[in-house]
Amino acid sequence: MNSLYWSRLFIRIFILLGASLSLPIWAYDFQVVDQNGEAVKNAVVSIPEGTIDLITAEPAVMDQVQRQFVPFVLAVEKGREVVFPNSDNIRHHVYSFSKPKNFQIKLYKGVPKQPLRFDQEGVVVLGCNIHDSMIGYIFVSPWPNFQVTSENGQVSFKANSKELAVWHPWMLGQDKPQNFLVSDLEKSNFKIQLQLTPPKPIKKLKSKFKKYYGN
Amino acid sequence: MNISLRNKILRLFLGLMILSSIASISSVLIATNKSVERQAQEKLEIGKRVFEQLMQNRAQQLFDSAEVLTADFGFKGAVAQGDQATILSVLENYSARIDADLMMLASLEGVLIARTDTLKQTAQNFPFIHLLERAEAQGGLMTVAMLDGKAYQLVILQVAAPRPVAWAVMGFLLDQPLANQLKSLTSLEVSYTGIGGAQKSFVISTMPEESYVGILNEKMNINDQNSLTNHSHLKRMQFGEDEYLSLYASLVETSKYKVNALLSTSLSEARANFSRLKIQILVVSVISLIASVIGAFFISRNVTRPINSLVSAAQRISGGDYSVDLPLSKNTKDEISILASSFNLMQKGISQREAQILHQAYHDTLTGLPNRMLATQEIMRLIKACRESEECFVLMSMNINRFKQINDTFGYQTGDGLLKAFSERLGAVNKGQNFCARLGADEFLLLIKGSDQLDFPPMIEHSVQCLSESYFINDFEVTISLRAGVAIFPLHGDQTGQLLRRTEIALNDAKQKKRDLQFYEEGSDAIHLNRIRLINDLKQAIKSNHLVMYYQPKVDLKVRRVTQAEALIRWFHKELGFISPEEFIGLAEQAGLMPALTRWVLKTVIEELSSWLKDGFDIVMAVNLSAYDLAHDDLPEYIDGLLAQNKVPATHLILEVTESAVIEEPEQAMNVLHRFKKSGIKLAIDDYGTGYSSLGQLKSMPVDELKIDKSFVLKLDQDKDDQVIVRSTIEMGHNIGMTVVAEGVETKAAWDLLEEYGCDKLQGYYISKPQAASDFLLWYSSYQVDD
Repeated sequence: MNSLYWSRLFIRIFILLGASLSLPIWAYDFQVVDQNGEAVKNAVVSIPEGTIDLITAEPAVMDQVQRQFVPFVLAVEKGREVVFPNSDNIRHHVYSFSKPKNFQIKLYKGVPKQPLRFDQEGVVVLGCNIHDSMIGYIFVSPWPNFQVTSENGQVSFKANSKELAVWHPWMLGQDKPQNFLVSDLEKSNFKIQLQLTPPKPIKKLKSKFKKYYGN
Repeated sequence: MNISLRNKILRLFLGLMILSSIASISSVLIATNKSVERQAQEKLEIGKRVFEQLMQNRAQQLFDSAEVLTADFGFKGAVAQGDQATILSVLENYSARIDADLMMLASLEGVLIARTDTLKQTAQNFPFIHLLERAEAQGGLMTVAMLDGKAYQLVILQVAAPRPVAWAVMGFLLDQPLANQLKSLTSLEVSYTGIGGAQKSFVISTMPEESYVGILNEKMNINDQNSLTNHSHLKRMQFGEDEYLSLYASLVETSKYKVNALLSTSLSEARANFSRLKIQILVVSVISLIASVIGAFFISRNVTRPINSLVSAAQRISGGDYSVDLPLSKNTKDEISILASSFNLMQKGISQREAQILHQAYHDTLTGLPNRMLATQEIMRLIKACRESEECFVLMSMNINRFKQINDTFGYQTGDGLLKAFSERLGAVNKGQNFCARLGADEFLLLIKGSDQLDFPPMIEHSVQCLSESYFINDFEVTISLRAGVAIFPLHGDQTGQLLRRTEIALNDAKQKKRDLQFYEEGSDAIHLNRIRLINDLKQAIKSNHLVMYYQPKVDLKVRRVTQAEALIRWFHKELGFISPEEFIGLAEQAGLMPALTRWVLKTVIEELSSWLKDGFDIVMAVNLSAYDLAHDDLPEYIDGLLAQNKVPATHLILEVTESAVIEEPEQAMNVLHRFKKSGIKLAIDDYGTGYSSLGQLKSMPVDELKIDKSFVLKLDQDKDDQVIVRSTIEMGHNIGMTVVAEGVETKAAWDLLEEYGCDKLQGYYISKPQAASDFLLWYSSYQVDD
């Protein structure tokens, strides 16, 4: 109730400002949902404008914990270094055949000596050559302003961009973010709805041996 | 139809054996057929498991390879980066490694990326695109699929890098070598059939090609397509000349194609293994059949042989031969031997009973002596024997006198005892050398054989003497007298019947002559026969009125005129002329004709008298009655009836009876006489003086008149004794109040004497002989007593 009130107040203010400056600054809270209206985590929401300055930040971390990439989706600016520590007590062989960064870190434990620099925008799909179930994603963003949704699917931005770019690993087309008009989102109550296709859980065909000649 | 027992047994045995042979043979055939099928089924089951195992091994091999392939880092990298050349080389490498017949790579969307089995690398559709949906749903797919008229065992797996990026396909061809391999493992015929619309159909088989031509057209109704275990999948099929049992399995069936596996085993071949067994069984059956026929032959013979001997025994018995016993087996107690011993018992019983019946037929039951029938046979036999040996024999018929009185006096038991004792003694006479028989109640026959007729009289005498000695029966001493008639062979006859008759005649003669012993007299036979003829004629005469009544007057000396007449019967025989009343009345008495004769006489006389009385002839009529007449109770009533009927007063009838007539049955006779008297009929004693009646008896009789026998009167004038008897008799009669009549008055002198003695009435030829009624009446009208 309260937030709604404030939201409406802001909208009026921005409309007034927009009318005077043509690019009014807005500050909104958005929520990413799927086709069923459920909150979507691990979605990368970007303001698709601006340039990246010199990167001074420390390398980002794509950890491997209990045979999972953590985080599942890591968003980094183009040119950012990423380090792939191994928190498991087993070895991993992290690789990617993705175009933005085709690499492999052969069987290792602990933190690799050199972080890898991701200097081409795009989606890098990470896998482990030993553990097929391990899949992780690094979204190399060409834009400086982006956020990854948490459990509640919410992100907050203050900008004057007309659009938002949203990407999630389960989107169809996969590797390209989808753009949403802020004005449309204003109408749809700031809900960013994505069509997601979760990957099917990998089955073991071995249990079907006896049915080798079945239909 | 007449079938002998033996044939019946033979047929039964044979039928049973044939039946059982057929049953055993057919059951063996059925069993072997079943066994063949069962073995075939088992073989198919085993083959099926081997087949499944083999297919599974291949699938496993495929899967393993595909898994290695899809996990290959380099391959994944090549696929992820679309490195066509590398992809193809990897595929070929793996294909060579497991000798796969087919390897393909397709994009997730179903676009063919690479393929090993053909050079054409591009612009091709992925042929298994229709399987991808299922492969995706299941995370992979193992199946059989058809491609270009061939069937493959396929594995489809996803290539993940690490996200799914492509589909890898690996396949083994279902080809002839596979079928051959399966055949070598299972020793079954193995066939694969593939049927597809656009796809070419195919058959791969281990059978010769000409055999399975029609296999594609076979309808395969398989419900559970994933299992070979259901027996309903079994099907008989004709491949070439052989019959097969086949097991079907559908390997795959889609809308586009259908692939089946077919395991077959030859039933004909399996049956061939049994054919030797069948022949053996057939041979054994035939041998046992022949053996059983021989056995049945012997058994039936063993059964029927004793039965046949029983049959012939029964026929022999029915023929009257009881002498042969059936042989009995000692040890066996079977039904036949029991029957045989029963037969023997029966035979014995029959012969005993027959002997008994025969004995009864030829013997007297009381005394056990031979009867007349046996006697006749014996005489017949003896005549024949004596004719040859020129011997002779005597035939003696004997009567026990007054046997009836003995019975009455001592009782029947004693009578029977006497007969038995007599018989015993008769048998013992002459040391038992004689034949003896009982001919009637008290009539016996003794037959004595000898070489000379002159020997007979002493033998006969001795016999009679022996037999006449006293008998002691039940503490009674019984004395008997015998009467015997004798005839001698060949003196008195040489025929059985003749001899027997002549002894009887002699016996009769003995009775009549009151002798103890009477030899047959020549001519007696004729007399006898004559008597029989006369009896017959007399019967006829009574019936047809050939008898005539004559009347003889009696003169009453007081009134000096005829007051009475005696009716006398006369018989004038057509051929023999006059026959005296003495003769034919004796015959009538013997023949039982007396009642009829008496009645005829009475009727005739009373009717005659009635007419006389009507005509004014006042005559009292005298009629003679015999002893037989007096024995009849109903005679008084009969006479009363006649008198009343003819309106004749009883006082005009006198009945004359002899003394002897009364003496035979005195009580009965007196009773009848009293009844006559009561009716008013007068009675006279006839022939007085010839009998032995006492005066006491005479006095007690209700008699009015005494007729002095003519033997005293005939020579009265010459014989002084007769004069004394007649005079005293007349006096005595008068003294007891009777009138006295003298018969046989033939002279004037007799008349005068009788008149002098005071006799009341006279009768005799001096007055008149007996005359017929008409003559009598004429005579009566003119007769005057001389003074």
